[in-house]
Amino acid sequence: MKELIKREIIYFYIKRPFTFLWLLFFNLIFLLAKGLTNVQEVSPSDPQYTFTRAFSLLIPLFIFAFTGGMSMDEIIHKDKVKKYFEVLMATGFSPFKILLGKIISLVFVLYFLFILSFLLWISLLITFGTSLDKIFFEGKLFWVNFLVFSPLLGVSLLVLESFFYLIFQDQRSASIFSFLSFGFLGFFILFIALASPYDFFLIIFLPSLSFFSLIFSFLFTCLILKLTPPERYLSKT
Amino acid sequence: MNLEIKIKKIFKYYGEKAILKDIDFSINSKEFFVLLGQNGSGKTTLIRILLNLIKPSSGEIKIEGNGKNIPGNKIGFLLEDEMPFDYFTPYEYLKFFRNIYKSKKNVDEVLKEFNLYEEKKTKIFKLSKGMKKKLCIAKAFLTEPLIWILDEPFDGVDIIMVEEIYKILKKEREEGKIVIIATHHFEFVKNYASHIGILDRGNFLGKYEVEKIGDSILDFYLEKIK
Repeated sequence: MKELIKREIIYFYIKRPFTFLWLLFFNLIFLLAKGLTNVQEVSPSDPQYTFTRAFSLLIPLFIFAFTGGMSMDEIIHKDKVKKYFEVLMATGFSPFKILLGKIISLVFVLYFLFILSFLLWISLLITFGTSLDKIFFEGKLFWVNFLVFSPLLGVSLLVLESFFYLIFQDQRSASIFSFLSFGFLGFFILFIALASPYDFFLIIFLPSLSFFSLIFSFLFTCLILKLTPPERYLSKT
Repeated sequence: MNLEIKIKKIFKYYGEKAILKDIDFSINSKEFFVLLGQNGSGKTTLIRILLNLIKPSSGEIKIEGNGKNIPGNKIGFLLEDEMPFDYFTPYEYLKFFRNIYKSKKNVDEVLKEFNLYEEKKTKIFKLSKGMKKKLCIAKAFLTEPLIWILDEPFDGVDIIMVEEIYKILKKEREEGKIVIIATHHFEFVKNYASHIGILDRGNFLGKYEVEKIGDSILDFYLEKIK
């Protein structure tokens, strides 16, 4: 497994620094949206207040779903077409192990880039004269959700997405899934955020949703991979 | 070691379509077996079954040495249209497989053996198709395989490289290993193969000793598939 993860990181990111820069660029662009919600002066009595805060919590999820989705084509679809997947299977790795190696390395790279972009974003705000108090006006709970649980929710989407990329011969079917699932999840989270007390949303709802989605996505993927005939993972030729 | 591959009554269906029909034969130590057949005859499906990539619809395959199952990492393979990881260098590619196979072979020596040492640091996508094929075979070499299973190793490879690959495999066979090649190229078969098998539209027409076949393997093949 260690070798698989090493291969993924070297082959897809270190050997191709452009991919790395591209992903970093997208991270920064999305974090700017968070910056916009920060500088907005919205009164807590305004109904828009909860929406804005909940929406900014969805930004890491969106970053993971979007940048991860962009990488899926390269790390799964093209690996399958070029028969690298088949070679690894013939070497003795199970499809689940190969997929797990891909997900772990992708999540490692995405989270590293996310934190890096986050630090860059803070430096940028400070450079332009924003005070730390204003940047971190949200409480600790918000930031735990922003930096941990929202990305975890993104990881569970990536796990499911990677599985669809693996079993569908046409990668467009898989990308449709990611758009639909992100859209559905986004609406669901915003709906709960607006319909429930904000503390409940931050302390119970988002952490539990992240935790259970992650477990569900791994169990679902593991189960379906066991039931799927190996022909699905092989190139058509 | 006494090696044997037993292929027993293999059928493979995709939906209602039979890809392989009642394939039944065996291959023994020191055999250089060339599986001949046109495109679509079922060669790749049979190779994938031999490599345990897919399961047959019915029947079984036993790959044994002295009566015991041979582990997958003792089978050197080349898949149809297989290409090495193109952003790696040949050295990095072989090092990756050496670590996976936990092989003690020296990567530099393997590269020298396959005349690839000078390209050690070149990105693989810059290499010729023949060199890429050789590199894929070199990868299999790292496992110190007892059995070689190669699917169309000569597609897109120039004739000098084809003979070079054959010579490497002949040496392996002389060391007592089994070599299986699936191909639709007839050049050199007469010089290197000990046996041929003919697959035609999913039917195995038979296994034949090359020495007992006349001068032209191609004529023999055409006669059989008539």
